Amino acid sequence: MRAFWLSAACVASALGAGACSDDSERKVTVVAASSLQGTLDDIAADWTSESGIEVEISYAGSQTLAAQLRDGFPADVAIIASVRIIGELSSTRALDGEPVDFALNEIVLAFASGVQPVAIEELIGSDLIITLADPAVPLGEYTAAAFLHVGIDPGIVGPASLEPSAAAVVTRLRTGDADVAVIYATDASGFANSPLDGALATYSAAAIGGATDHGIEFLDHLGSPASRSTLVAAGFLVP
Amino acid sequence: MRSLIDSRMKYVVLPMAALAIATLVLPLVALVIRTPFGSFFDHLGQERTRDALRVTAITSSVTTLCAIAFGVPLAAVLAAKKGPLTTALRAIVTVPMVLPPVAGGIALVSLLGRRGVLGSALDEQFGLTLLGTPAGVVIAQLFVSLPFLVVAVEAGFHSINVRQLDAAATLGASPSQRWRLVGLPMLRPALIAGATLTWARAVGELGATITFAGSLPGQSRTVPTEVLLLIETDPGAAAVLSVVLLVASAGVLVGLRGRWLGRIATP
Repeated sequence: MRAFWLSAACVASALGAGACSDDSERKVTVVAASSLQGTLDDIAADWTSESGIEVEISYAGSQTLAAQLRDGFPADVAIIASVRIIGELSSTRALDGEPVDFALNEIVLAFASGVQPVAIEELIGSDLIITLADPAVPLGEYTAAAFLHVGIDPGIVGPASLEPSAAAVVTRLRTGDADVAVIYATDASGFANSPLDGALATYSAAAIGGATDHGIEFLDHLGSPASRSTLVAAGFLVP
Repeated sequence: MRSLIDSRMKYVVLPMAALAIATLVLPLVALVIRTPFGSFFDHLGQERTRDALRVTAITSSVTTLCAIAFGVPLAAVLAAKKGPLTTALRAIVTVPMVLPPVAGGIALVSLLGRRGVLGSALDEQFGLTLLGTPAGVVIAQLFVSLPFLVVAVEAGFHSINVRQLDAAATLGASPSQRWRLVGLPMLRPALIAGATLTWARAVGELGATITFAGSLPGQSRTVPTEVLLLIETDPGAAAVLSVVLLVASAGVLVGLRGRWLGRIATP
């Protein structure tokens, strides 16, 4: 209840003119790509137990995050699955320091249970039901790059659906509505899968200019040995 | 009106009413302000936009026809029968109106998905899958919009004066003549209102459609799905398509003027 009144006071003071410095000194607000959910929660919990600073994480698709940040969403740290988008961010929001590329994710061809795995080249003309991410989202960009890498025009792949998020693509595999999909390696446990060349998702983090230094401290924590081992355990690669 | 809002109450009622209007209208005004009308037709002329408009126009029309074909008989049954079974049935019919559409989509995947309760048989026997098809879109739209038709038309059936039907029978009209000449004209306002609301709900459907029928350009990618994707890559185009949806729904309301606002029950 106290937290509620604190945040209500925050909203009130934000509506006025002042920032809510009392609250933000003990809290850092992070917006992060959905595919980091779970792993980033663990990393943040470690940091909170070390530093005593609360971390509030809001997950969404990277393109949605980009739009929210463009519109002035009050975040201290942005973590996005696209170096390009974080680069564009610096033109609309003041960043504290340079963005940090702290994790990588492989792109894999994954198969629903009971489906005989095939190579990416064999998808063309096969009877398999294919689901991919729409090119509007980062996974879709990486997917297109992976197909182009083996000389396949993404336009002729013939998917049954181009999903609006990485999570939606994984759901199609899990329900068996798709036989095969291109997904992040960290989503692929439980599915037969083979890594694809030509695309590597890069998670880039930036501290957004503001009243506190906690954003930068959180970025330092992302690069710490403990955080790196958490990332590796979840299937990410670290640079 | 004077007796409903007396002079002491109006200082409370009128500001609250104004707040309600602001809640409903201001976002739409802002949408129109932010829409790049200079490039309106450029956005509409893009192939992917035209595909989405075509898919939505066709699927929502088919959905409305299906809703009339199945919904009017159901409304007649609900209006004609009394008892706990009818009451329960009526409650079940309205569930999709309050269920989050995404949950409806999950339910449809459970039933008709390729590994679904019925869907696995469809796939094995006929090689039929609904992901990425207009048929899948129609089923999703029907699930969320059919209740609107049933509720409106049932109200219409209740408003039919049975004595007039009896009088027609006394005058020697056959059952089909009675309905064609007497019953249907009385039912018509409710039928039009129900069909229009059903169509409007189908046009705006997103959650169940994207969950069940996916998002294949030219096949199952409707205007709302296209807006969802465009918000992120091309906000201007998203605003243009949203205005198209807004104009379509405003047109529906103008077309329904009077019919929905009170005349159904008193034809």
